[in-house]
Amino acid sequence: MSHELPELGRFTEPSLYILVSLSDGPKHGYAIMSDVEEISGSPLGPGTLYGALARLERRGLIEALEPDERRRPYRLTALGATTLRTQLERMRGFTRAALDRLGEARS
Amino acid sequence: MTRLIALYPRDWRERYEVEFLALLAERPPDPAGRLDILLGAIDARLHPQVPGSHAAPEPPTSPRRWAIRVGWLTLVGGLLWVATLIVATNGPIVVDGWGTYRERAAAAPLFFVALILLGTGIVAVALDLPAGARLGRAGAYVACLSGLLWAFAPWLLVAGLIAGVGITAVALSAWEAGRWSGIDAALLVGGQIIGWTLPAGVAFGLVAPGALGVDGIVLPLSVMLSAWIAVGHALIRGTPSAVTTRSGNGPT
Repeated sequence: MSHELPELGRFTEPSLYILVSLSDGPKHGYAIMSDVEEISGSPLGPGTLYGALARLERRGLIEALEPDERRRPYRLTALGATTLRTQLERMRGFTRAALDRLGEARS
Repeated sequence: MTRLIALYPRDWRERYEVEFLALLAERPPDPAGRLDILLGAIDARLHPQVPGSHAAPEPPTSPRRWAIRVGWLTLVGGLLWVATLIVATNGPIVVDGWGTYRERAAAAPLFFVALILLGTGIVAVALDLPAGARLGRAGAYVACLSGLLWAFAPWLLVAGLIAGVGITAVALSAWEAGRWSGIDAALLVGGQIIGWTLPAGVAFGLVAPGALGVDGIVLPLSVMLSAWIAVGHALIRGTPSAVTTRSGNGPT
């Protein structure tokens, strides 16, 4: 199984936010939407949210739990957690390298 | 709202409709949210993602097959645009109470289909933009509405001009997000600026239509062929997706 975030086109960034949102426990759609808005500072449209959820579920990165009335919570799978960690570590490396270069440019 | 959700494929609705409606009940969408739902429905039809559906996952690196198809359709639209201009500049000259002008009605169906195919290509480009590309999405929305109006009423140059501004925003946004090459973006934007300068002067009354001769308003429109070429080429070529955008802002 790949630990890369799969090619998801315009859903790549929302998917990353959703994985981050689910990293501290299961959430349903509205809770994910509110959490992502808090994390990113910009709202996630309902169509984009469910487009990303369907992609993540299909790829085994998240899984749906039993519905709580009409709301269905989702949780991160082991593969999703590993994929998220890989992606975040890559971004951390990128950020570190970029800041180092910025520091060099200023000094 | 149920009308919008009815646009989603049946298997998607069977799987997600209940929870989706619950979400919308908790957080009713604004106009941008409704547009997002509409785009989501188009996406769900173009890329079936429901777990257990029989559609094969897309190959990870090659351009998506549907995008290539839409790209070729857009290029066909470009040929129709050329045909439109040829037919429009070969109609009979009419002299009546309105003055001397060329009868261009025969070009109207070609004009309509050419614009619809360009609009289809623009929607495909907008669907592949990252979530934060609001300018591009707004541009696509404006371009599709104004372009549709222009397709039905070719004499409304202002509608065409607004559509041109919209597709320019889409091209710049796609370039900014790393989805388009600079050549494709420059081709489209350059064509729009050069092509619309004279018609915009006529539309805003700065240039008298008669001063351009019988076909003076049609010929600058030929430069706009670049829009069909740029959109079609970008869709067929495809681009690798990246989380980091050209502006370096990262995920938004």
